[in-house]
Amino acid sequence: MPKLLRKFLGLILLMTTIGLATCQSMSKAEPMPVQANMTL
Amino acid sequence: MNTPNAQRTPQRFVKKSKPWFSSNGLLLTILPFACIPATIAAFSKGNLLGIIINAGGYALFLLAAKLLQNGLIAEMAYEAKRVTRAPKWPLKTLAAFIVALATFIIAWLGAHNTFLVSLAFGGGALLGMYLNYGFDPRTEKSILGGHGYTTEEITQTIDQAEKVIFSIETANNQIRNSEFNKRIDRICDTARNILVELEANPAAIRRTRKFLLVYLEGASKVTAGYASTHQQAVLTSDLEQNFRNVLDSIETVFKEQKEKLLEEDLFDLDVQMEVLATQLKNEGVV
Repeated sequence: MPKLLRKFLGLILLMTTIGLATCQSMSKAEPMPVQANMTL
Repeated sequence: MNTPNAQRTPQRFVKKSKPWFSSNGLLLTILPFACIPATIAAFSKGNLLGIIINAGGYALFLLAAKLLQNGLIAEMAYEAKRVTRAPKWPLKTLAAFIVALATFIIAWLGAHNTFLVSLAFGGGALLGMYLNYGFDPRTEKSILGGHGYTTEEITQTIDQAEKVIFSIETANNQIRNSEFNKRIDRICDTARNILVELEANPAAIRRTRKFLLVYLEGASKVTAGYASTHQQAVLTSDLEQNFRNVLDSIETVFKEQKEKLLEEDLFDLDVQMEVLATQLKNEGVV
């Protein structure tokens, strides 16, 4: 595999995995909702 | 010893120029930047786990960036040399695993993905690190031959000689005499050429080591001594003439020795070394 293509693929993978994981983490940076007991 | 011509007359080694762009680990500082607002958000919502995961995750990325930077520097030094050991610590590989771990933890505990999806995040980051930066070189670079010296000894000799050349250049910077400056520069160039020959043909190490010890150390001492006297402004014409004579001898002999090293004329080399050693002693240099 040409070096440039390899580096490009690596960059895409890093941007996808790290970028996505941290952005998801940012959007979910709130406490896990406690399930309310809705039964009567 | 019969060595092929290709080994005795090697081409001058030219370092590769730097790539037009090298992030040097900057990517690992920028990509997880969202961890900072995530930490702030976790603070504002009173989410302790979120604070630990995001702040800790970003710290891991920064650590990986630092390790990667050092690993890339070690790799550049490795690539630039013909004879050398592999870098001592696999820093790039370590950085790749830390990035994978940090991504996995953030994807699992920070972004609340399932365990398997988080593993895929971690694996993807590891693969990305491998494809983008590669892992560390682990093989020793050596030229085979019956010289009987290990790669470590050859590397040490070259490193030591480079330090001495550097010290000569440092002393040269303190001398305000263009004639001497040029001569010392030429001596350093010739010494570097000899090191290039040594890298290309380690079979010459026995002679080169002796040569470097006597001549290069001598040149270093005499240059440092002159530079120090030069700064104190107590120069006499006799001292200048002595220094000129010593530089003459060193310069001439350096050139001759380089040729003889290539010709493998062992006898002449030893005789000339004795002559110069005696001269340096007489001049009070060694």
